[in-house]
Amino acid sequence: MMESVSPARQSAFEILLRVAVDGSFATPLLASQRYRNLSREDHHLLHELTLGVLRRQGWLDFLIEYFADRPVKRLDAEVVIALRLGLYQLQFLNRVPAHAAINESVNLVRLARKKSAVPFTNAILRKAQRDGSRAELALPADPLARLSIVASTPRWILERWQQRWGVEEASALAIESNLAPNIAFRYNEQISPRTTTDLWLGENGIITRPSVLVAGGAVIEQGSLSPHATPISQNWIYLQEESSQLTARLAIPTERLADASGPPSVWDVCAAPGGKSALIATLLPPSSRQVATDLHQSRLRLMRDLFVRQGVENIHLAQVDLTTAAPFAPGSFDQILVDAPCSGLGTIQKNPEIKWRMSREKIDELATQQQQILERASESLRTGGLLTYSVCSTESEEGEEVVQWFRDRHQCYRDVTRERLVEIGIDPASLLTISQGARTFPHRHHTEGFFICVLWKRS
Amino acid sequence: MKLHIVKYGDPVLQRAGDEITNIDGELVGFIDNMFETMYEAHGVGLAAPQVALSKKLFVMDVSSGKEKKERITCINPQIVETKGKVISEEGCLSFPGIYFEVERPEVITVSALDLHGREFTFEASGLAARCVLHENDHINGKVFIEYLSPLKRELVGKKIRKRIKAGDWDTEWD
Ligand SMILES: [Zn+2]
Repeated sequence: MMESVSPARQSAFEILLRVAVDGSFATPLLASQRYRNLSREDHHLLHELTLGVLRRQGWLDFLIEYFADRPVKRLDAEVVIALRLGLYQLQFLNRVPAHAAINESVNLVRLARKKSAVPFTNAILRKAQRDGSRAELALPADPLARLSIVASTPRWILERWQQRWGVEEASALAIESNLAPNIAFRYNEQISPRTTTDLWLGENGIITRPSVLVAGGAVIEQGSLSPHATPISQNWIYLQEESSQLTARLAIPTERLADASGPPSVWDVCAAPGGKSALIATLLPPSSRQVATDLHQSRLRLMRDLFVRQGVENIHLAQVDLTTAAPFAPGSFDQILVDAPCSGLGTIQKNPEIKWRMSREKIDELATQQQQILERASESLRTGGLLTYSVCSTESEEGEEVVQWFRDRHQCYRDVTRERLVEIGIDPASLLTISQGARTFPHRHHTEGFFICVLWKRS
Repeated sequence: MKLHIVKYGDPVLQRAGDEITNIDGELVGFIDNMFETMYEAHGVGLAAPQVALSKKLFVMDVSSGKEKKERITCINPQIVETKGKVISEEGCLSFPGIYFEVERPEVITVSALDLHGREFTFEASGLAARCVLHENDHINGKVFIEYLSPLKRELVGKKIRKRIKAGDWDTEWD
């Protein structure tokens, strides 16, 4: 006997519904306990279906509206999600037989107690199977409107990208943002020498390349690592975005520490999930003073666990709300790192739902909050210290403009991003922006879209 | 080893299976293969006639391999008692892509022989009861479309004939 929907599709439906209805994020749900018992194959299909549907949502909804001849907004969420799942399999997953894609979506609608929509779902999917390519003829002629559908990216986002970098760059960025992200990690050479780790990875069919953005980092090009794989469970490596590694290394001028008087003090302001502070701890001398803070108590607990696992228990943790008051005395720190909460528009590869949720208004709100956090945090920096600001956003309101706003108010800060890049051995040419700081882009650097600026506080 | 699952149209599905008189190593190995086949096909139950062995034997696991204790092998089973009625949708590995509602008893008591030839009895409800009854039908030569009204059965028949024509069903069917 069979249950009427396969576990992978049932689970994908469940996750997509939560993402649509209660604003959850898919990636943490995919990693949750509930789906851990699926077979390896089902888990793989679950990931592909969930993230694939979110990435291609614009195109899939265009198909639904074309074949149903009515707006997606007027359909029930359960029906829309079952249709998106079915269409995604028909259009993007060649290995799934068409009848399986169609039948299981129809059964999802039935199991969701939307019986009256069963014939409708069936009819739309069969039409799409028969003449799916006909929909392309109905694409609008206007290039941006067309790109918005084909590359599944809201038009307002494309418009601002086009204004800043031109239509070709905007298009390349949108298209690259629909690909699965590279998985990056850093070697933990205190536990396992790089050669041992590389040997293990090679023997297990995992192909990596050294990161071009950060020393001690690498990117997985082929194969996948389960959380139980030796290099992860034995802490030989830590999975960590290249941008996060780069921030930690740029923020801490270890090559200058030898000249400094006394051990340095470092404050990581919005530290959760803790990867940057953990890396910083391995770079600093043991006598250093290191503080990691965050707004949320629950995230502090997760960070504590991470620090224990990574053997960097010397970091002080505290809950801090920078929108109310500066928690430390003026001039308390040599280095302050502000990786501010942001729109996450640079992380669409990993969190595709962001592009459907974000808005101009939210970006403006975030920018105001970012200014406030940077301003408050900077009060605790001593003269001669470094203030590093970063966001995983492609948008200048959250990056360059926040730094510009801050520097307009504080003339004593100088942008030393270029010098810092050179000091850590990275060619700054491909990363620098015309105004402030440095940027990475998915379509140019094959990592998330990221902004960073290192500021030096002169006397 | 993965076994081939026969589709509706194969006569083995309409024949009552023989009682099993000898539980030997070969049979135990075959049962392992039945589990492997069932898990791979995302089934929750698989009867011996579905893998072309006309015997009174089925395997099931309503947890789809997530819980070891849900892994059940029934040899020469008997439905001892049934209670209640419930309608729910089900599918069959011998009818890929075809699902419909079937009314079945809600709670059942089953007795069968285990892998060591020892008799055991258990009560089942929900998906487990449905699964036992579905598989028990198979070993008695009955398939689930027999629960449909003649009209609905004809519709399902049409669907299958279309799929055979399209080369999407691997058994000839009249
Ligand atoms: Zn069956």
